[in-house]
Formats: sequence, structure tokens, C-alpha cells
Amino acid sequence: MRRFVLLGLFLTACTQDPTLVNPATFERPGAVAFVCFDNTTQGYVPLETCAPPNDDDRYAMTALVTQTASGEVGAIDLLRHRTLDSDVRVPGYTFVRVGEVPSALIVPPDAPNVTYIANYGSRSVQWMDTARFRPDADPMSGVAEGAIALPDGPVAMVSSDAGDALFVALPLAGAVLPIKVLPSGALEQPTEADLVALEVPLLPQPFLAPPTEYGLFCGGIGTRRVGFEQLSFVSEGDEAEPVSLLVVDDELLVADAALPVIHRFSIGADGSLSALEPLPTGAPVRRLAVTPEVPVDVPGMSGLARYLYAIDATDQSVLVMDYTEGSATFGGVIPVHSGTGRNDRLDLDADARSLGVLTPGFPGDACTDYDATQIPTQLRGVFLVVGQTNGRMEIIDILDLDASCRVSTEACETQQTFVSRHSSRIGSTLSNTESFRIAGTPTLTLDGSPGQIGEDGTTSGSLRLSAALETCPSLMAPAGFNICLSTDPYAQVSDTWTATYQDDFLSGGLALFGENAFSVNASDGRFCQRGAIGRDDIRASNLSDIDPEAGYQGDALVITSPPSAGRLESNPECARYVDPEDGRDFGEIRFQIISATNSGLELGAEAVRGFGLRDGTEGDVDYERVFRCYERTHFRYEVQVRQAYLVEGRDAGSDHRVVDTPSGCRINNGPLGQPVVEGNASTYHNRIAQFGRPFINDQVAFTIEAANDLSLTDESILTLSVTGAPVRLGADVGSRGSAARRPALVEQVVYNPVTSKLYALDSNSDGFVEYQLAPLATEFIFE
Amino acid sequence: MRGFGLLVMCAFVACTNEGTEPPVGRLNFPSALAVSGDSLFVASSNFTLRYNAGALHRYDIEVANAQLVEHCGGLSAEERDLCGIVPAEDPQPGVGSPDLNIREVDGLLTSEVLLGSYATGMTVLPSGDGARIYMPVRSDANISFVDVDGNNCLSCGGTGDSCDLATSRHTCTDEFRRGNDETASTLDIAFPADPVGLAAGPATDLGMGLAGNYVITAHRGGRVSLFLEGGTGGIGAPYLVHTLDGFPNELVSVAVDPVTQTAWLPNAFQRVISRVGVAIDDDTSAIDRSYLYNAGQLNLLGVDTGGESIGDTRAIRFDPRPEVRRAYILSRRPRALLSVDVDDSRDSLAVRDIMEVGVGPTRLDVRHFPSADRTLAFVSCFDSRDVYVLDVDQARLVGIVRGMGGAFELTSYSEGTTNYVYVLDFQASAIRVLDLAPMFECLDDTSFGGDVSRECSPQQLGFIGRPRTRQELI
Repeated sequence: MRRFVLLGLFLTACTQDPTLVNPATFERPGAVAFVCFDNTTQGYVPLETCAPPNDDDRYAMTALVTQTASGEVGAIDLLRHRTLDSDVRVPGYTFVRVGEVPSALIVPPDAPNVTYIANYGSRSVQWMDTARFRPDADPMSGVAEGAIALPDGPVAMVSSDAGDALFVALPLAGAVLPIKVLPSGALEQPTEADLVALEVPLLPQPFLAPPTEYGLFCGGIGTRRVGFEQLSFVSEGDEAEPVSLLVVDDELLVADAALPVIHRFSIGADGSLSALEPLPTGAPVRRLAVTPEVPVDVPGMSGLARYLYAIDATDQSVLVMDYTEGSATFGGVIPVHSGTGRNDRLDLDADARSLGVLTPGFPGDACTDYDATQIPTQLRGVFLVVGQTNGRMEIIDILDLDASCRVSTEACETQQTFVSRHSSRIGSTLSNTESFRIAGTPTLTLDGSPGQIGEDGTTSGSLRLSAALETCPSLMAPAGFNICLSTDPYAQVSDTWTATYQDDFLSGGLALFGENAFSVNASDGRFCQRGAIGRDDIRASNLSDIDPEAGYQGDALVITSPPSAGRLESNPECARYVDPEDGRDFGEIRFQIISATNSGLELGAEAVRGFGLRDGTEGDVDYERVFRCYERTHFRYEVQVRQAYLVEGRDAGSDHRVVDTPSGCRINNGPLGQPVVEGNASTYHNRIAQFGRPFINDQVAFTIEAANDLSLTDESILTLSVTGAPVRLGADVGSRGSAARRPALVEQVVYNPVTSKLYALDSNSDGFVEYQLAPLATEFIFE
Repeated sequence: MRGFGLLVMCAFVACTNEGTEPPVGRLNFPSALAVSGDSLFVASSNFTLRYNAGALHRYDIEVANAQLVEHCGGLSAEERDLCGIVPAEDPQPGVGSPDLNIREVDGLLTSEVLLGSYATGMTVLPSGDGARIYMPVRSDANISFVDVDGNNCLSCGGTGDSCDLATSRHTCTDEFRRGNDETASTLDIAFPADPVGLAAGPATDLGMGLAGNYVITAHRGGRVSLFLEGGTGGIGAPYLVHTLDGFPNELVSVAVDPVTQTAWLPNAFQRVISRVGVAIDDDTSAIDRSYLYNAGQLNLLGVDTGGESIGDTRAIRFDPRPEVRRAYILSRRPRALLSVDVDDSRDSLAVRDIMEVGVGPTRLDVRHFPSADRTLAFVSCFDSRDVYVLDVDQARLVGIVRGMGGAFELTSYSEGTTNYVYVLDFQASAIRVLDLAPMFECLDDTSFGGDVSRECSPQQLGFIGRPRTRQELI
């Protein structure tokens, strides 16, 4: 639930106004390829030629960008930062017309005279003279242009490393199609026999690879990783749906948006494909990225590891797999973060939409001497960049070659530095004196009392925060007021936490009383997934005393709509639930939940209570009386925590470990579930604070005590604000400096290894944004 | 979209024009349409108030389709862009481009009534032995309803015969407008101004034993109203039962979840989708005791709308397949069609896919085509003047139809092998008819070595009306 942190938590790349270049109108840029242009010979040269130094600006890195909406390809001179007019004879800027809905394009790095474009709408792949895209290019390359027709719309296209074959993904055909590149650069028309069907007779189960321990911290903060995780296994159909491709050396990887595997093929010398064992992802995936081999640890730089990242097609999270050749856990899913959320997914702030691997300065030597000028926004090494649906790119640490230079005994006396593989890059150092802390004075109110909490945890009323936690859990430290705060920079965010007595966590649904007494049906309730739990469910979950839910007596169902008017007329007794003044307001009726399933609840007869009824009564009402007023009609309901507090972060939300089982809703505390490790806060997935029991989640811990029992009508809220959390390094693609930002859809993130620049394609504002990486900063925006 | 500013302004100042009646059969800034059986109903908004009323036309869809195929079907794509048909009652010779190739057709327009300006939506439902058309009409600040009899003649209280186009005009009377009048409700309920969206369905869908329909209207100022039709011995007029406030400003439309019967309301102001439920009374003799309730809002989180407090969603459609619990939300910030898992959406929308669309996305239709085994979304983009076609299962763009003056309301049509989309070209005051057959033919072609220049976008078959420049319309 830490997905929706405030935008301000990002250290954005835009510290000053970038240059905005907008001479031409892009129309949904979707894919990009780079080509190097020689301004002297006016011809294209191998891509590496554009590597710095570029004396006298002889070579111009050029980006070719597909315009998905208009069926065109536009060109940008990245040396002069100019959008190029492909035909100066036509007034205005002209882009080159290609097929309908272009989905991919390739310019072979060493043979750049030909450009290949896959057209999803036209169901074709065409090849063109690359000179077409620059008005100043020599058109004498001698490339004949043409196209081949395909049996399905291609959604992705890659080239073999040798450049002698193209591979396209055909989702409806459930196949990959190799296309032979002829020596002339033309393509050979494939036939049906060339189709490589993606068939997996028996879907493999995912398995875990060991967690990564790479990280650098002042004095070390211990092992953050949690080694257990129940891996999901989700399939979106029976037939393959290839949606993206990646060539890694002599291997073709195919992301499948339907089957929970990544298909693998060995690419033969003639471009033919031989199937290899697929990688068991446990979920369909959409996009792929693979790192180069990186040292397992730094500064030792010993051993080599390789990682594969994939976007889960079902929830747009990002999983990480061991892709190290010869590894015993090759293809295993790596648990990559602790605390709230799935351990087998990157901890991101929003859904992922695109992936890329950055390798500025890699391979290269690791820094060895402390250098105070090395700042965390400087990127040298290997990093993952994730384009997100919130319009931002987030940088993930894999290998920071400069990390060693930012950590020294002396430096650590004043500031903290954090680097952790597969975790968001922390974009700043953290002062030892200004680290995580509680802002202002927390309050614990009761029925409107001010409730200011003293340093010793007491308030002026009957409630207090006790010192039941004699020592804070690991990765936490005392923050005063008998509150522990996380010291884990990857878990903690600046946030406001509230614990609200008997608050609701599920509302807005409609339910019906069942035919059996005390039962309620709500087919769309999804009670277990939403964390509802009954008294007997707790008892059946075999909890130990350290489990935070132990002793909890189950949630409460509250009816929040009045009986129908007809029922009121036929049964005057029902009027006690209706406001007589307007006939529409109502009192609340509350039941203890005895047991819960995903679609129904069993209610407790002995604990039925009502309060605040409009006739002035407060106290017991029996089930039968309520049933008679609501039977056979839908009613609105809420599910609330009962005789306890619901703990939520304003941005982090809340977490629970209730799961749906054949027996009903249960606490997922088995060894393959989410068991609690005493003292390890990252293992606590919890949102219920009971009186006298320590409340622990991965960010805060406290214990609420009451001198007297609270009544059903009491209102009590604990509020505390946490500040000082470090900021994550990223870039706001929608930023326009001091001008109003635009909503962005980060369609692609593309790294150019020749110039060490990062590019983002924003299909919403039709932007193409260039970033430098040392430090990360916006350079130009084309739109 | 400057025109909409004028529209809004006029709605508030109750612009009226006592002058000229619109010519018979004249499309004048059409703004709402619906297909029902063999009828195509189109409402003209009279956007510039050139005339003293808007109009509702009934076209014979079989005549229209047959004439378009006969007259335009054999032409090239470029020629079809200039090819169309007009009702013989309103040929307008000399108007529009001289290159237009237009056939005058008898029997195309079969009925017409005059009503208030600025109809902004339309729903047709069976009613009694015929059908009833419901429209929010902003100039009148009410909903208008028009009955369709067994001969497909429109009727809304006027004295003339709406099917006698040559000799009489039929003008809707107050009895067929429901809003701030004492006949609409006896509950002392004030019908809010500016109704902008409407959803309707059989009252039985709500679990009521009524023979009539329910109507839910969204009002631009953040209110929602409920009408029910009751009465004995026949279907009564819609009766205003309840108005509920407290919703975001700039509500733009309303759609009802076919499973829960909860109404979803997009708005052009905040990043939330509001929801409204109908609490029904099981005593059908007392329909006024039913009411609306706020069923909770769904926050649009994790999608970049440009700011934490900003949002702009325009339309919602639920997947037409009963087994698929998805909603499609047309967003302008970002400009995309959002595919949402309905059952997973509790406090926030469970966005499954984001499909980019053109500039100024305005209206949405979603239809499943069993013969092609595809479910397609059609999105009109007013500012980029095109219609996007998206495969919602693959979450991919299938094609784009360009060349519209101002694509606005649209609806798809599937009958036998005929699969069309009717698009109101607001700026050109015409109905564009898009033929999906070339698209399906292209998509179904799984052979190798086909035509490499093919395009899988739908193609315009022709148009109904006489497309004109805006200057000619003012």
C-alpha cells in the first residue's frame, strides 16, 4: 500500500527549467531507435561512431520516433536538439509516412542505412532507406524499399545480434515469427511454416531464488530481506499472447501476457529459433529488461550475477528473477523488499508501464577513495529505470560504482548513505541528526479531548501510549512518546499515521440477509481480500501470542441504510432505525462478525447491539427485530474493526494478512504465508491496534492503553506525523519546469549506451524527453 | 471546444429564440443519437440558436444503410469521404462543398419533432407497445421524453402528425418535459439546473414491480436526480422522486452497472468517480418513497492526471459481456481509455490497462461483436477530429478514423453482417457512417503475403445530411 506516496517524496530530476523544443507536433510517440549521422559525409555511420568525444560536432546522434496516431516516423537531431523536417518542399514540418499504427522500429547499429518498421495496424513490416528521415542525408544508399505482410498485427520487433534476422511478436497468433534479413537489407517474405508457436504443455511453478544482500550503509543496518514468500501463480488464459521481445546475447526472451512464463529460445546462426525451458514467472508479464553481468558484491567486486526484470501483466508490479548463467536458482523469483506489500515485487510508488536498464560508465572501476563531491543523483554503474503510470520514472539500484566513495567512517559520523540492490535509489544523504522523527506532538484524543501525548506517553485523559515495548523491534528506534519508528530508509516514508477507534475499512457495498439466521450475503463483498475477519476465524487460525491478531474478537458489520418505506409502514417497530425528521437518515446497527468468507458473513446473535437509535435508546436489540426490518431487501453496510483501532498511513494506507481459504477468511501465518518473526518489524502485516497489545507494522510501533473500557459511542483517534524520510531518486516526465506540469503516460524509457543519455516517451503529452545521468537531470523536451 | 463554453453560457441565461423554426429534416449541430430496432434517432442541438428549437429525427436505418451501400459503397475511400445521402425533405442544394456527391432519398427521414435546444444525451427503452426516448435538455433544464408508436411516429404532446413531414410540425409540449414543474413531482423537490447526462432502464432492473422505467440524470453542478414511471392502466410520465447533492462539480455523464445497478458518474473536475445507488421501496404503489443514496466514490490513484486534486473523466461504459466485470472510463487527464476491474474497485479504481486515445476524447461506446469474437471500444475525439477504435481485451489501438469536423456522440450497430458506427459530426452537422467490415476483414486475414498497404481501420461508408462548414451553419 506504499504505492501512492506523495509526489513530493521524489527527488525529481527537474531542478531548473529544461529547454522546451516544440517546432513539430508529435502524435503519440511510441518507439524510438537511434542512428548516428555524419555531418561531413552526410551519410549514416555505425552507432558507436557517435560516442564522445565528438570533435567539431561532426556526428549527430539522431532519434527516429514512431508517431503511433498518425502512422509516421519523425526524426530528432539530438546534437542540435532540432526536430527534423523530412521534406522541406512541404510547408511545415513533415514526418515520413509509414504503415498504420507503427509499433516498433529498428536501425541496425552497424548497418544503419536501412530502417525496419513494424506496423500493427497494417499488419506488416516495412524497410526504408534511413536517409528518408533526414533532409540533409545522402539518399544514395541504394536501399530498395519494401514490405512484407503478416498474418497478425506485430506488437514488438527485435533483431538478432548478428542483424541477420528480425523477430516479431504476433499476439493473436500466439506465436513469434522470425524474418530473414537478406544481404541487401530487404526482408524475405516468411511463410506459415516459419511461425514459432508458443506452446507450454505443462506450466512450470515459480520458485524462489535467494535474496540479494548487496548494499552499503553506514555501520550496516542488518539484513532487510525476508526469505519467505508465497509466490503467486496466475494465468490469464490457455493460449500464449506474446507482447514483447528481448534479445540477450544469443537468446530470445518472449514476454507472455496470458501465460505465467517467459518463453526462451536459442537463436541459431541462421536466425532459427530453438525452444529452451521457459522461465516460471508465476504471472503473465508484459515488458522485460535484463542487466549485464554485475559483481555480486561491492567493493569486493567478486562473483557475477545477472537479473531479469518483468512487469506483471495482472497488476503492473515488477518482479525480479535470477538470470545468472549456471546459477542453481536460474529462473527463480528473488524476494526484493521487506515490509508492506509483496516481498517478491519491487517497492514502487505506482504501477509500472515501461522498463529499461541504464549502464552509464559500466563496465568500469569501482570508486575506492572517499569523495565528498559524489552525490547520490550521480549515476555510474547499472540501474533499472521504471516508467510508471503516475507520470514518473523511478531509478532502482543494481550496481553503484561510486557507492564506496560516499561511505567512510568520517562521513558516517554526520550522515547516512544508502544503496541497496533492487531497491529505489535514495536520492540524498540523510543527516544523522535530522533522520526519521515525529513532527510536532502526537495526539490521542477521546471524545474530542485535545489528547496531547507527553514524552512519557501519557495524556490528560484515560488513554495513553504505554511502554509495553521495552525495546523497539529491529530496524526501529525510539522516537519519544513511547513510539518506535522505522530506521529503514526503504520502508519509512514521511507520512501521517492515524489509529481510529472502531473505524471502517470496507464500505459502499450492498448485502442481503440470508435465509439462514444470522447470515449475510454480499456476492461482491470480497471480505477476505479486504481483510474482514470473524471471531472464530481468529480462533481457527492457530495464532501464537506474538501474532498481532491474537485475542481479537472479530470485526463488526454495521448496517448503514434504513429499512424500506414499505417495511416501515408495515412494521412500525422498524422506525427506530430511521430519522423521523426527514425519513432518510438512520441510526447504526452493529453486529459482531463470528466468521467470514469472501462472499458472506455469519453474525453473532449474542452480541447484537445497536446504539444511537433515533428513539433515544442505546443498547441491545436482537437479531430477529433487525432481520424483520431488512429481510429480502438490500441494505448498505460497513465493516469496522471492533473494540480496537484501525491504523492507517495517509499515504502508506494499511496492510493485513487475511486470506481467502476453503474454510473461510484466515490469518495467513503459515510458514509459506506471512508468519511474524518476533522483533522483526518488517514481518508485521497488521492494521489492528488492540488495547494493551503492542501495535507493530514496518514503520511505526506503539501500545495504546486505556484506564477504562471505551463505550460503543466513544470516539478516539491517535495521530502522529513522521518526517525526515529520505527521498527517492526519479524524474517527473510531465514536469515542464516552472510551467504547469502535464499529465504523462511514460510509454517507453530508452537508454542510449553510446551517449549515456536516458529518454522517455510520453504518449499523453506527445513528449520526448532527454535526460543526462550525471547527475540525473532533464536536458531537452521535444513535443 | 469553445463552442461548449457558449453552450454552457446559454444554458445559464436560458437563451431563447422566438423566431424561425428549423427546416424539416435539417441536422443542426447534432448532439445525441441512439439506435433502436430499425430506427436511428438523432437530436439536433440548435447550438448557435439560429432557430427557435432543436429537433429529434427518426431515420429508417434500413433505408439509410441500403442507400449508402448502393450510392457510396462502390466508390474509393477518397470518394466515399464526399459521398452521402440526405432526406428528400431537405436537400439543401448548393450548400456545402461543390464536390459533394449526395443523393436525395425518400423515406429516409420518417418522423420529426421539435424540442428544446441542447439535448445532451439520449436513451431509448421499450415502453408499453412502443418505445420511449429520454433526453436531458439543458436549455429547458429538464428531461424531455418522446414516445414512439408502433408506426415509428414520434409523439411528445404536439398537435401535428410527426410522420406527416410535408404538411405539419409536431412540437413537444410541457407535458413531455419533466423538471421544475408541479406535475413532475409532488414532493417539493427542486430539479437542479443543467442536466448533462442520463441513464435509464426498466424499473424491474431495480427490483421494482413497475411496468415503467427509471431515469437517473447527472447535473453539472454535482447533483443527481431520480425519476420513476408509475401509474396504473399504462405507463405514466417520469416522476421526479429524489435529487441528491454532494457530488463533484462538472459531472458529465452517468452509466449504470448492470449487475449492482449502481450508477457511476465521471466528472471533469476531480480524480474520482462518484457512485449512486437506488434504494427502492417494495410498495409499487408508492414510488416516491424510493430514493438515491451516495454509494461511495472511487478514487483514481496511481494514474497521472497532472495534479493530485485534478481529474477529468468524461464517459463510462460497462463491458457488454455478462461474464466480464470490467468498466471502461474515458479520461482526458491523461487522455486515455482506462480499463477497470469493477469488482476489485473498492475505495479506488482498480485500473487494469491504460489505452491512449486522441485529443479531446468526448464520447464512448463499447460493443461485443460475436462473429468477430472481439470487443471494441469506439472513442470520439473532438479536438483531434477522429474516432479511435480499441480492442479492449488486448488493450490495443486497432485503428483511427480521421477526417471528421468534430466527432461527437457515436453509437455502434450490429445486425447480421452489417457492422457500422454512426458518428455525429457536430461541426459539420452530419452523421458519418463508418463501416467495420473492412476492418474485420483485415483483422481476420491470417494469410501470409497479403496486401502490404492495407489498413485495418474502419472506413467511412458515407454520411447522412449535408456536411457544411461552420460558417454556413451560423
